Amino acid sequence: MKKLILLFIPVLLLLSACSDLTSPKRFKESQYTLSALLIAGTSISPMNPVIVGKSVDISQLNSPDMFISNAVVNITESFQEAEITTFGLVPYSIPVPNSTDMITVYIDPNHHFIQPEHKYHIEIQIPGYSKTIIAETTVPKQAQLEPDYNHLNIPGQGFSLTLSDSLPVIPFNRVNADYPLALKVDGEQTVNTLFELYCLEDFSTDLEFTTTFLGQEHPPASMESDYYASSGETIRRINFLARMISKQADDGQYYILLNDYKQGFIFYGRYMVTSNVIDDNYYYYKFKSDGYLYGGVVNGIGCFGSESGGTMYTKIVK
Amino acid sequence: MITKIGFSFLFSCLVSIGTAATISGFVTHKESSEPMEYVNVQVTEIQAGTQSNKKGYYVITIPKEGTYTLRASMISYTTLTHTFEIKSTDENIQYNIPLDKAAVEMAKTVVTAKAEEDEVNSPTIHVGTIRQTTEDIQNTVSVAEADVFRSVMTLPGVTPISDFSSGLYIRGGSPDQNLILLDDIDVYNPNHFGGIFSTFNADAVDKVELLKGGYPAKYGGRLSSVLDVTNRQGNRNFSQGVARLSLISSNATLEGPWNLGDEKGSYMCSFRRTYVDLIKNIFDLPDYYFYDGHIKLNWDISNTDKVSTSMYTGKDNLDMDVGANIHLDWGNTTATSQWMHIFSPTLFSQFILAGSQFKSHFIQSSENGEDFKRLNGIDDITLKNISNWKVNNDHQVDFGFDAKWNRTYLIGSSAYQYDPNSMPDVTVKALTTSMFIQDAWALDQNWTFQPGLRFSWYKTLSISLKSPPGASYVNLEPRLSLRRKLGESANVYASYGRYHQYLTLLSEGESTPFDVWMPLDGTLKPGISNHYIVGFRKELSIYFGMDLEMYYKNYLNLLEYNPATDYTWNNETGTLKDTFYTGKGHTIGTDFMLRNEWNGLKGFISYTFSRTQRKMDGMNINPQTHASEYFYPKYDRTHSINLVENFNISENTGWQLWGADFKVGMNFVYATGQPSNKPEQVYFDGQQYQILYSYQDRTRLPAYSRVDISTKYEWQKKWGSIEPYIEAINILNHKNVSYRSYYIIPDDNGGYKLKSSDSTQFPFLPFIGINITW
Repeated sequence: MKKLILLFIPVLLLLSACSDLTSPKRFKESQYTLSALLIAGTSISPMNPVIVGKSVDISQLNSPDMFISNAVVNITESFQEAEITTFGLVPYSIPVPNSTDMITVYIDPNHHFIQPEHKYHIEIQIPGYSKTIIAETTVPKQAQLEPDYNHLNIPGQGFSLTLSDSLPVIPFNRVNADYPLALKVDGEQTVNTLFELYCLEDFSTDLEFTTTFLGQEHPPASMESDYYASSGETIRRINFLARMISKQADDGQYYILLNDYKQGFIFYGRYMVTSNVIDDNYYYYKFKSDGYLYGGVVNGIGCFGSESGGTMYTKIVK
Repeated sequence: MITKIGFSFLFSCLVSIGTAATISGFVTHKESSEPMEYVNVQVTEIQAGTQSNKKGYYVITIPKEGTYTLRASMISYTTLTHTFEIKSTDENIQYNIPLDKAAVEMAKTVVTAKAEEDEVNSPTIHVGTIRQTTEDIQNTVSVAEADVFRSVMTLPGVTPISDFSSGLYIRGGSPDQNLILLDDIDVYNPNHFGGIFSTFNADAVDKVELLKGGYPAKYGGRLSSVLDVTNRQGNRNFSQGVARLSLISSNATLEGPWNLGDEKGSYMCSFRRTYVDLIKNIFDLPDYYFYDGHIKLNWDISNTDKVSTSMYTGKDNLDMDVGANIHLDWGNTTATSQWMHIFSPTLFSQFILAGSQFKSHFIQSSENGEDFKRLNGIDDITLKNISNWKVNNDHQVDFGFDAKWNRTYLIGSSAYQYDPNSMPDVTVKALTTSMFIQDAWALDQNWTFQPGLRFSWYKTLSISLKSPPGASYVNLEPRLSLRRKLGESANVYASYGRYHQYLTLLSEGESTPFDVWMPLDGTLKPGISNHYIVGFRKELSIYFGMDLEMYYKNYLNLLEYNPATDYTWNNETGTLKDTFYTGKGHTIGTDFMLRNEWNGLKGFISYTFSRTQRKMDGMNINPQTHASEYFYPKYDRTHSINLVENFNISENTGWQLWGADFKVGMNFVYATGQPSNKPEQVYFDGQQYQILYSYQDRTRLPAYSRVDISTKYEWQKKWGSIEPYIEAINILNHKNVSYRSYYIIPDDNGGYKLKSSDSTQFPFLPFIGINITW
């Protein structure tokens, strides 16, 4: 018995030495990043810029090193293999959302409009980085928002295409039946779609859930951090991402229609609703885990995507 | 060398045939006449012994005439001896053995015989095997009520992934690599309540046998382990029942004898239902319930023919309003018919025809009607034979065959304008046939050699998709074990086994009703694992016994569901391979268990060391090279310690509480925290901060620990007993983190900060309930 115990103790000690088994660090150095979403019918502007940056250690979250201000950025536009034009982007300063910090982004000073079905090839050279960051996207076919698909024309009700102090309202129980999200497209086609519902209200424990669950009508204070999270999907920002096929409606036009989505309005209040057809780069960027590896960026990470659609606003009421 | 062994075996068989008398029969519980497995039966004069099989059958060959003594013994049962006479070597004596449970005082003496009675000296080699009885399961403190899986999870080598999942992670294997049998037929999704409970009603279960690795040739089709659950046959002597009421469910079990003509039989039926749905309006709970029922009928046609049929059905049902109406239901149904036939005293056979079905429905609806519907299921029809041939006292040969037809389906439909090509619409039919043979060969008094071989042939019969090629795979699976006795109270053994798996599971990590079983198509190769095990077993004293096993397992052609595919295929061009990551892995570990039955204190303490790594193409990608890296999966826990003890205070001290027998029980578990990723870097994408996470095993969550206790108070009445109980889960209210998520939120200085939040498991939870037996 003693021998047995004497044998067992060193074995245990040996095994104990193997505790806390973990992998080494994954990102040993900063990654150069490209973030751009070209929107059909608009130009690359301060509202919708190209961001060239690099990742920083998580402890340096507010570091200005995250943005690169001296990159050379050029875009080549082509259509059906024929090159149309090449244009350069210039640095421009904008504030970080919800912050007073300014960051450098890149915009098109000549306002080239992004065209549906055109291919855009971007090349970025960064001083001190030997590789050229390359990416390209083909903009989806034109998709047009239809804020009032059922042609109800009820004053003060429905969606508005602009954000204002007096938004039209939609009763929560009429969302699906009366105001489906609709994108008019050209003919029958299979497309990647992204619908996003973003609550514009500030967080408060007075916010009211549209559907009570386990007796809860209002969010607890502890939900505030989840609400304001600036990473990933949150209870404030709900996405529907799917491959969909357009269908012909009674008016002879083809639509992408989402008519059961009210569960995405978690709270009553004002919402920004975006409906877009998106390219494969942006689709995989949003869809896959580690999406930044699948966003079409070579010699860097991030996403160079494009979309066609639009944004609407409404207020969800009881 | 192999030829020599073969000839030696054949010679031994030929010599024995027709030259020896036999004594055979069934070992049963005296109280209920239900069969008893693993009872040691010996003829003392010739030092020949065996163990009763699953049906309680034993046979010993006796080479010459004379007067002999038969001795049947099992821990906690009174040893029975019987003298008999062999008058000629062609005589076959039948003798059934009813074994009586030892009285408490007697049991303390009976334990002294433990060293020679238990598995140390069993004729077959049991590798990585732990058995649990109904009593063991009932004595393990569990949430709300006794549960088979929760009890199994306390055993060394078994890793729970979460308090909310009853998925069994055994020696580095995932739940889909476990063969879970109920009365010899597969149960495919043995979970209730999203995984908090298993489907098996503890009162209906006679015993649970867990084979953690190196399992014998009669089992196959899974890479890691076997959980063999056998339902009770029911009391053949008198009718009895038990009813249990807990906070969330009630169950009742009835059993008793029944006769058909002159032959006897028995029945057992058990039913359980939750009643959360009855109080849903008070607490605004979702509309949820589950029920399950077991029934088993047995009929002894003659002493050589017995038939039994058993059935299980269970269903979970959930309806809730999350803005859209969600309906879910899922459940298993199994049915088994068995014919046991004794061709000759030395040739025992079971023929089994069985079916199993799992199906789940998910329906999302709104005022527009059904928006989304998903059906998923698996059907199984199995015909098998398991035979035991006692060639002589040195050879016990098991052989048989198994033919399994499977149909699995995953069908989605939607009123949404989803691309129909991306909606799953897959039905696969497959046939797996196998044959096995295994010999437990006593080379001499000390050495036992157990070679086995399983042959399997898998073939897809049809696939509804257009592109995937069909599969046809033939494999041989050798199983070898060798054991050396070290005196009368210890042995050492080594075992090797090779295993193949043709079914795989699409699962997002924790067992859910959405998990989809899928037979392989021609684009996927069968999973392969090799088990290498060495073990040491010793009865340390009359009170203590220990088991120590070290193992190494490697895996090839592992499959892991790729959640990014969201259970979709391109129905035109897709194959099953599109939905999986493929890879390899290995596990190394040690299980140690110290059992005790000391002055009424019954239980065990166990320690498990385990290290599991996997490498799956497309997972855990190195961002520089885009190559996959090895990782410790979420269920890898380096160290775990379990302490499970029960003490019947009244029975062992005579002290009672208000006239009631007072019993206490406790479970303690400590386990290394699970591997987890964590943020390493961050960048801004114009809308949000994007966190770049580490490899998925960069850090470990805090260690898991939990103490559960129970007290039971049993009042004996003339008609039976009443036993109220109080249980408390996680009495120290330890915060056991199952998942840590990270957010970036604005800080007070106009910048941003990183924040984390933990998903925790069961807090302190008290439960009450009552058991009534009659």
